[in-house]
Amino acid sequence: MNPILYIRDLEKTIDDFHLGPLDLSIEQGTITALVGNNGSGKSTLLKLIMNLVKPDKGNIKVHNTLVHGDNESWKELVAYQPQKIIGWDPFTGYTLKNLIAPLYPNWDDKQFQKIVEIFDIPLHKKFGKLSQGVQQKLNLALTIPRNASLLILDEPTSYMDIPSKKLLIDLLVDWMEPGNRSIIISSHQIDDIRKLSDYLYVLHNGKKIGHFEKEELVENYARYWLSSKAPNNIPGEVSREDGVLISSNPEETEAYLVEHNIRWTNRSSLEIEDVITLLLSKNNTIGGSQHGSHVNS
Amino acid sequence: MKNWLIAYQLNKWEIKESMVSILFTYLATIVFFAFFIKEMPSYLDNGTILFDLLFLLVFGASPLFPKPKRFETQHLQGNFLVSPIVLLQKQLPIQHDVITKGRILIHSVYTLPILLICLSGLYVMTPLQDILTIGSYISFATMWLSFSFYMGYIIPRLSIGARGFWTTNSGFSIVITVIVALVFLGLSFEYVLFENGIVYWTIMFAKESPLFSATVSIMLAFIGYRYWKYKMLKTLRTIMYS
Repeated sequence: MNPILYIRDLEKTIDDFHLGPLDLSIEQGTITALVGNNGSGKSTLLKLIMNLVKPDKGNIKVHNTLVHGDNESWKELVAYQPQKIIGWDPFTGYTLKNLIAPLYPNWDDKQFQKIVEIFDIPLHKKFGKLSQGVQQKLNLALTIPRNASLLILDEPTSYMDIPSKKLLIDLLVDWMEPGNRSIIISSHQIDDIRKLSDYLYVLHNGKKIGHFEKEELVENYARYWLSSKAPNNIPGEVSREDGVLISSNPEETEAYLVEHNIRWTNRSSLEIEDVITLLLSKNNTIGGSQHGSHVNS
Repeated sequence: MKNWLIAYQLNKWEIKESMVSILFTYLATIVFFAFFIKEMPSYLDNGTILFDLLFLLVFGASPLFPKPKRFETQHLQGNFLVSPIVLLQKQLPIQHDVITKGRILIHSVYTLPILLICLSGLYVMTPLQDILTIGSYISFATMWLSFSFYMGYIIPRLSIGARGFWTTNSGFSIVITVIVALVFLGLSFEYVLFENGIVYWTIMFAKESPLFSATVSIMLAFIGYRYWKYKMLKTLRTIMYS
């Protein structure tokens, strides 16, 4: 089956920032979190997918149609919520709905009304007069019901209150139910990543660190409390502090420790935020391609 | 035609929200035409560069009269000039052709109706009716309306997006100063060489060769339309909306 989104050898230079080369395939029924440090190129990548920025090299295809070609039919297959919303200020929620809904053949008006009710969005007010949080909610109310096969969300919860974040996660989980849709979500919110994502696509300063299956990624890290002295550079070792060793390859690490009669008093798995921190750490030595849970993309 | 209708459907909200501003632009145009009506007799006797300059301004750049800030072409980031509405539409499943037609439509709403009305008033209220037959005056009006297309379409072109030094405030000021200076110099030379201004000569062309003048003007308007549309489509494909 063709992927919903296919990216190959993508590169873009903007001033002194270089993004890529990037490869990525998004399959139906998956949620991929785009993770990276500030300025890692997440928003630029999403803009490249949306043909708001032209790549220097490489291809992007949505349902096998090149997004930078003359055929613009792919646009109704993608719903994009940008991080910064420009051009909506003079319009009320009603007007924006009347503007956007007819452009999407699968627009779900009931879902729109449901989201408006859940988030208590005043549709009669002009967008520019709403608080940033309500703007974000209205933006979601006008994005999710498009029912495009690929939903792209750029920092969708950054201004939201805690209950609203939970409601959104529930909404997105429901939205994925038909099984033929996918989401790419760029977020710094660890709850979004933990609760929603199946895959993580990690960027650091424009470079791809890796494309990982989330559960496997977490399982492939372990923390050991060593009870005796151990040499440096143990296989799989990622970091060590006060006798606590973190490994990105527990199998190899444990085999080495047993072989060299090095004991440990405790072993625990890492939280996803710890793994992401390790991946994004400047001094980390692991690359996605070395990792067991790396996804072929 | 279908894309023009879609463009109207998508931009009717902007027209609705801009109604006050559109009426203000109409009022400003009427003020200019009141000046033209008052000064036309003396212009026909002793042409003035100011009259020509203002005529060129009204037909070439009247859409530059203030628009609501939220629709105005503006700097969104440093040297990136764009209309926020274009950015909104670019993120939606709207064909590039429809986006460009929408910008041209908005430009036309700001200019075409009021220019047609004011041109009618100019004929009825000035000695032009003694010089030009209705047919010749239609040719004169066609010349200037065509000018408002092939020169005026730079405004929708800019709303699609532009980058570079000349789009910054300093760069833009330099460009405007140079253009005004060149137009002023050009008009001065014209007065020295031909003793009359550009408006006078278009009246004469319309009087002597109305059909030829109108035909050439329509052709220039068509070429201008094609040129600016090509530039807008190219920009939509290539510029960085970021």
